Amino acid sequence: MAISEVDVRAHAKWIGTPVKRKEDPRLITGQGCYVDDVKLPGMFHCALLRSPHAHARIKRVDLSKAKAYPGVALTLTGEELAQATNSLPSVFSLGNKPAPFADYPMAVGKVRYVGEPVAAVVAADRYIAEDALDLIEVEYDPLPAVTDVEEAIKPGAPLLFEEMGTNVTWHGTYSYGDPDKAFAEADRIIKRRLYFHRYSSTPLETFGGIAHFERATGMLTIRSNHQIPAMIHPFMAYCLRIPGNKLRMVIGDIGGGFGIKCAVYANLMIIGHLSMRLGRPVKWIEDRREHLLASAHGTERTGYVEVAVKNDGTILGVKMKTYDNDGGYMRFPEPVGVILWSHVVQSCYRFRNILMDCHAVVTNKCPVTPNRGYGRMQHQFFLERMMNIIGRELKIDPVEIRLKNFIRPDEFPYEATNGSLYDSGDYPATLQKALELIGGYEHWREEQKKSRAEGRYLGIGVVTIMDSGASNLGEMSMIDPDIRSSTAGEAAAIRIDATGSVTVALGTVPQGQSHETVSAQIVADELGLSPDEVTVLTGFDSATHPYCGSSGTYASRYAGTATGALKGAAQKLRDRIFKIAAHFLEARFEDLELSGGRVFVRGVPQKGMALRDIAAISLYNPAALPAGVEPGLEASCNYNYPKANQMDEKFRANYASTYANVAHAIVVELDVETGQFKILKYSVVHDAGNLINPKVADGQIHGGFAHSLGATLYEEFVYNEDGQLLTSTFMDYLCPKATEIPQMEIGHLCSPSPFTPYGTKGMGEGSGPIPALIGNAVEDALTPLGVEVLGSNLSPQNIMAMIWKAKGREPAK
Amino acid sequence: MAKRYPVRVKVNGVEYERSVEGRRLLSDFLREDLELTGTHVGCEHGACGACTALLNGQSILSCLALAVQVDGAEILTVEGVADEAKLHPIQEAFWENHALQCGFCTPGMILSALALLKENPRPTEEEIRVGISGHICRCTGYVNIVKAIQTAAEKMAETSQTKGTVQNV
Ligand code: FES
Ligand code: FES
Repeated sequence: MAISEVDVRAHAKWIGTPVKRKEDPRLITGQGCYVDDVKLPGMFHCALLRSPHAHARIKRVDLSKAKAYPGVALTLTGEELAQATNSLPSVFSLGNKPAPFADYPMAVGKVRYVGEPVAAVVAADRYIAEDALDLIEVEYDPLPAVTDVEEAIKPGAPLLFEEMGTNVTWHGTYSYGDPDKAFAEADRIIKRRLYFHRYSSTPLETFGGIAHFERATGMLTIRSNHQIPAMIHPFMAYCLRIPGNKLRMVIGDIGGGFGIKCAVYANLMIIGHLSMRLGRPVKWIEDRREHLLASAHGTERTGYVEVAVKNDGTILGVKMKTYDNDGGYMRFPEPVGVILWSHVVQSCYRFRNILMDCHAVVTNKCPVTPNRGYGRMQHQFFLERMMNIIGRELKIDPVEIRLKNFIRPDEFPYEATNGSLYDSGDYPATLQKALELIGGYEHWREEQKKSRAEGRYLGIGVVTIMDSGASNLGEMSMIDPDIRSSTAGEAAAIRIDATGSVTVALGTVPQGQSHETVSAQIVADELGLSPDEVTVLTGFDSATHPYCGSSGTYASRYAGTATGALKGAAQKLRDRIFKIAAHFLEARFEDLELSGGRVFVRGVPQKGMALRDIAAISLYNPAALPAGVEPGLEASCNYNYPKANQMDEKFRANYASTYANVAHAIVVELDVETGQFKILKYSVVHDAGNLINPKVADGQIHGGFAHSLGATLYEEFVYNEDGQLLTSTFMDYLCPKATEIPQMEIGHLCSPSPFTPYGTKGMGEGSGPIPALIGNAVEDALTPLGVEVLGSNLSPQNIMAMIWKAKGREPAK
Repeated sequence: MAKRYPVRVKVNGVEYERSVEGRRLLSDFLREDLELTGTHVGCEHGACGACTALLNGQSILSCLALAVQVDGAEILTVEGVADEAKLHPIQEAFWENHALQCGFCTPGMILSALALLKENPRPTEEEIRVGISGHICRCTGYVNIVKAIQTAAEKMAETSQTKGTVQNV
């Protein structure tokens, strides 16, 4: 499909325009309602005692003093919780298989990472609860810890789960095309060991929840900032041993999520149980140190990458052996992250022979969960680094080698070797535009030459990726083919009340993604209103909002799924409105138009009816409706992306719904004395098809870049050999501030998806490859020293270590 | 029972009298005792700026102060920034420029912007970046926050010129 600058505005009034956000008036005046802002009558507060050891047996927990402390209502140990609940869900349960090990939200018998909850105290307020924590006596029997993934897989390594006999908790191998043939035909095989470090997008609001069990009704309501409440709902009901219709998950405003908040559920289990015991609301809000230490981290991956290439730069095939460091437990949705790069297995390139050899490994670090770019950014780092390494070895320019291997614009829709259906794009054009936006590639190569002559270190980096959106949960079949799934959907409901005004509810759980605004834009276009006239309910409530099997806000899914649900519901309503109007106006259905809150005959605006009148008839006078028209103006749609299929016996499926394309280009100047660099130019070009709200889309780009820049330059969860986390406050886990973010040039191309209702594509995670981008630029800058970048954290000290290592190889001057 | 101390404080123009434990954080006092939940807590160790409020016109981190320390003082929190239903130009500019996504950092940012523009009504971009460098925003990459503060500064300078007064913050 060819690129066109045509956007959806040609036929829509609101979609495609930078409408001001509906969320903002409450958030800029302090009227937002985040979970910690909620206070319920009779509410208790919970605090958790956490393990100081990375690996230890718990010999004794003595809660007697804590229990006796004035103001304490209840205490809980891991053992007690395990008695009263079922263990946490495992992906394997979806295929009716047992989990490889039992996992509870609090330690049972043994602690496996520093910060693991060991006991809980519920008290009248948080201060008292924390006082009481100090009175709990725990006797530990420390065990040797293992934090490095490659140490953990060695025979004789300390075992986290003795019953398993290994720390490799899951392993899968998948072959697509004919990798062996590709490797046999290659002119060269280029191999590297690459490492993607551990960090997290650390939302500014930490995890939290309030559980409220009402004894009289048996209803447990859990209010939290969880990102996938609908998906986790059946698991929570199972764990807490209550029927699904007695568990209500409520979500209000969320202070950022970025995937990490998928992991809140383990803590919600604890407070759910505590509230059931007390019959009173129990609030638990994590503090920052708890969050950094023990909530959940993004995945750290070590990869052995082999690439089969021709001397002309054509890539024939790739073999990847990967080890994901999952931390102390393998928590849902892990080990899915281990194979999640299936969405983008070929990235932008044409090689079709791929061997994936994937391992999930437990170690004595904090468990992992999705984090912006989940499972894919590691792959993007490996592949985009390898593109440059291959280029260097074959003496082919990094831009040229990408152009040579790109999937061509006339090949779309393109079915990848693993069955993923890449919808549209023009990858060369995106890259070219990114290079234009930094001021031209040749220009900077010239500048580089000059600067080198002056002893300065200028580096140019490019990366090109695909940013998949709306995962198809059919991906879980890769973990176990007995798991049958093909959900890549969302649900929406629209109601027009007797006053003629419109209310929308969705299954999405936005954490800043502006769903109230963009949903109002879509519904306004479909029903001929303005976004101001459409109310979109904040947050989510499992008791009243519609939802589907994959509902939630994660994996850049709104643009590929919620759009379909909104359109489906709106079209049902339009249909009903037109049938009623046609009947009363004695007009033909096809001749009607809906605009400005009225239905009228096209070209004869005076011949029409107000939406309000139609709503009133349908609500109060059903007998007057034409035959076969349902009373009321309410409709919902449970939408599934039409190309989402089930995995076949060859492990092939369309693993995501949309495939946006992104090119980044950067110019840096490096100081070889300090390892610091200045970003002289940075550009990013996105092709996410039609944009619903360009302002919102740009906001996603800005934020994604800042996250990934922070991850590359500063952020890392550093552990010592004993498994102690050394970066557990915002004083040493450094997030970028306004002073660290450079100017960015943003460009958009528009290759609409032929498969989504408005040609939109998910686009929230296109900054995954920034570590590779900067790695490419740093390596380019340091060409005179012969430095090679093999890791994703490029802090000044890491850069200096590379420089010293390279200099060590040089003969002394 | 731990000893309690009286605290008299004017917040957003309203007088409050409460008694608190000596260890009670100002952030908890504002959020829980006065139910002004617009002030957010992101770290409780002075590193994120989310809990920023103005104490007698100066910006402070309410997570690093005790409630007893503000006895007799005047505090401004985000709830008091707008003039009744009329948004402050800084709030307008945040809305106009899409300077927030999740909104969790926003109240603190708005208060720091207020303090900054009071001291330096025409800051350069660099000065704005330094001015808010005590804050973490994890959603916006700061791009539109900087833009919003610039826009607000221009607007406020215009109004103060036409009115011939200094904008009262
Ligand atoms: S909460 Fe006060 S600075 Fe972070
Ligand atoms: S808008 Fe989310 S932290 Fe700033």
